[in-house]
Amino acid sequence: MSFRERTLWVALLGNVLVWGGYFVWLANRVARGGLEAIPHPTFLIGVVVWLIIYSILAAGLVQVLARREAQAIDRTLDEREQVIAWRAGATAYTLLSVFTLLIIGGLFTGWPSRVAINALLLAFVLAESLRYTLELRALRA
Amino acid sequence: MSGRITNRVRLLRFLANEMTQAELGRRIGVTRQTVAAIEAGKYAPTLETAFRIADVFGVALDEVFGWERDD
Repeated sequence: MSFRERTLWVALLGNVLVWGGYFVWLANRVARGGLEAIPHPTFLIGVVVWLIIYSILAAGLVQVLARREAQAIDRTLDEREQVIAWRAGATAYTLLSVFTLLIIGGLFTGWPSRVAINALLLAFVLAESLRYTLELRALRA
Repeated sequence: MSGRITNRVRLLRFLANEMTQAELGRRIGVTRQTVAAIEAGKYAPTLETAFRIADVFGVALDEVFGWERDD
């Protein structure tokens, strides 16, 4: 597995664990207490802190594993990795654009700002997860 | 007109003292996985990379890559 693949797996796992955990917790809260149970957006600072902690630990592990396998840690993408990244990014951008327009429509119809903020965050996380998944699939093909 | 790019990279690598994919990748500036994808016909390199490959083996470009037309 290349360094790029490991990096993408780490990022994808981070999304699933940290943001997936957050949105599952949020969904349970909303199911019990309605939209009023959505916490103030400053609560997200704690989630971001967890994501940073995870990213540092996981990136460190990836580097240790790469050194053990005597891989050259070259963080620049080669030409094939660049093409794959651009194509995956374009698809993810399209998905994010669609979600953003839907959320804007929701705001016009009266969505509370806390709902819109979390919806936008979910859209971003899904788009990034899609990008990582598409890249990993293309790198393995 | 449809067709596909063919290559003799794996053969030339074998003839070059059984050079590894990783070694070829290091010399032309791509990863081992990209070399593997080129050899398998799953990725067509840029013109610059194609010239670098030919340069490594000391042969002309058309001795490394070819074009096979679908008739």
